[in-house]
Amino acid sequence: MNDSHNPFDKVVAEDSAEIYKQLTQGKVILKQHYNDLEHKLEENSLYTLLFNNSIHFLSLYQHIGYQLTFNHEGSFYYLKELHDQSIDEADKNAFKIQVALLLIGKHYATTGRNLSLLYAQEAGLDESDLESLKQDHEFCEILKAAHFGKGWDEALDFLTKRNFIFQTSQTSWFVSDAGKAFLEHLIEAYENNE
Amino acid sequence: MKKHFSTIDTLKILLDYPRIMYQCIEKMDQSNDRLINESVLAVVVRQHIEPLDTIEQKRLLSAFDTNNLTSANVVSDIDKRDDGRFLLFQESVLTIFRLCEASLYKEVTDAKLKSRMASLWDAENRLESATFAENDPDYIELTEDITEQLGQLLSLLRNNIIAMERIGEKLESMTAEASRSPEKFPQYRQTMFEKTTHLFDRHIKPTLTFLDPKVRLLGGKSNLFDTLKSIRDKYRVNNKNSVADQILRYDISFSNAFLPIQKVERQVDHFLRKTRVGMLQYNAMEANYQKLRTLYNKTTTSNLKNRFMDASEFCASSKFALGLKQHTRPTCYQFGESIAYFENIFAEIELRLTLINSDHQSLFSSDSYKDESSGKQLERAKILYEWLSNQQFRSTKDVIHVLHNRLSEWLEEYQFTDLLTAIIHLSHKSDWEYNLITTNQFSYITIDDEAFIYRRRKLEQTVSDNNE
Repeated sequence: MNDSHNPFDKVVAEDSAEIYKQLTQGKVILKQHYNDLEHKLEENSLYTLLFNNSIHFLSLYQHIGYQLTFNHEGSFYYLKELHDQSIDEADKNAFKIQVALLLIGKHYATTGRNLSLLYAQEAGLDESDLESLKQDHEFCEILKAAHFGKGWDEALDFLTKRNFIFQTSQTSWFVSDAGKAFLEHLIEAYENNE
Repeated sequence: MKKHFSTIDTLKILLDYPRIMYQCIEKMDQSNDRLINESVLAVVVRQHIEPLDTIEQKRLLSAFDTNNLTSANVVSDIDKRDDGRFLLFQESVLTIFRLCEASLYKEVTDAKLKSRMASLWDAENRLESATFAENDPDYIELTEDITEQLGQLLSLLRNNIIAMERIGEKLESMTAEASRSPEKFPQYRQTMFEKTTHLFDRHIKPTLTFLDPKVRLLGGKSNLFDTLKSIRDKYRVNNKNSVADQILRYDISFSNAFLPIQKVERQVDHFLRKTRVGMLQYNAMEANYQKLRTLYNKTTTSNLKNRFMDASEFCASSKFALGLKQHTRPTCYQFGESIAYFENIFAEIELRLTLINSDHQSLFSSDSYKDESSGKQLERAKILYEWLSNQQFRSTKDVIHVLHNRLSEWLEEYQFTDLLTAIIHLSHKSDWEYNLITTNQFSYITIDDEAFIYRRRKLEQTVSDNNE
């Protein structure tokens, strides 16, 4: 076999291992990632690597029983099981993400703000938002019924860990492109009366 | 002749199929009539019984039969008009259905609040000349009247607030079409403004003014809170403290109602300032939230097992992030090559060898081990304790497993209860240099054909510089 055709040569092993680590942690890999130290959004080199070598990575993960999935609207990658027998649990996670994002979006729209601010690092959610989210009895009950037993702290943590929102300080967050993709999908579907 | 049902059975049937009454109430509210045409009711009933089996259909037809409704006292009067007979349902029956469906609440109007206020002022005036004597029936009746009025007023306002808090739904349905089409939006904007302003002026503002402690009324009349204070003071002066306290509690409940209405007011205000895109976002969020609410409401049935929402339907519509979850990565075997690692292994082997060579004979006679009598059990426990005190221990992550291994080697007829006795004894043991710490990690052991799951317990040395 000719070495120059080996796709593994084009990818640095450490980077590939890091991608594997993040994907198995249930994170999505976004085009733009928030840098905690410099407090700014920056291009995610892991995403670029995945994107440029997508055929290699697709088959790599296929060989170990996973399906590398790409979401076009939000430009992000995540991992699914190839033959998922435990689809219930997987659905539960997707539902939890959707419920928490929807409640955040609903809160934002109800308080008279354009959702574009929710996706902006300078605006997003702050302490007073968290306060009023926590005070909304119905929201909290709905979270509980969606398997967030500990309410908003758990929900925000869940979203942050998976990169659907980015935490900018102890008490502020903004919605990532992945989270935005979901809310924008809802708006588009509504506009088309689906 | 059709069968007649008692009042309670008629109500039960009505409540079993609440949609029928909901629809009737909606129709009455729409036409602003307190009565419903008999034939309209019949049409609604027929629509709902279509999918049911014949026996159930008959049951419903008999229950909703005008004669049955009248004899069960669910309908209080029948009005004969040119276009047919009209039924007047008991107000209490309608109230029950409004209670079950928040969208059926009738918003409190300005006129209604004013009349409530007027009767409170009247009561306040009557108190001026009251005797405040417990044996005066006039005074007792007046006090009863006041507390009843306050109770009714509070439930009226509370229902109203619940209805108002669902204003998002109303705003969404009013503007759905407008927000979806960029061309028609400017055209719709005017009517939408008018509708929203009407909703605001007629229903939200009166309640808000009514509950505003700072508001001054025309003609120098006192507002709700001043009136309550004045009534309360009159009781207080006359040493009727329990009544005064009760009124104070109502006072607090009324002031608590002010904040949520203020929130609704702000929401409407934000809404009116929105651009089309903003409104579209608002409506999309609201519409999807309503879907979620429907799912949530399904969890509030009397079925205790049903605590979580059913995700499948909601997820299927957007398909977003389906299948996303954490995956376990393969873990490595941790073989070491350092001297300390091998020393550790040898120490472990040595310890196990000493244990094997130590006293191995069974201390239990074959007839005592399964004896249920407490005396024998105590004896068995004592022997176990003695054995335990001779055992050597070292720090371990799972002391239960260690004990299990040793006991199963030492005891021929080893049972789960022996392990339990040993662990309880160890956890009460204070005269040694170890701490027993219960962790949140689970593990299991098998004894004969049974498996037992347990929380691991760590054994840690208390003295840090102690080397074995």
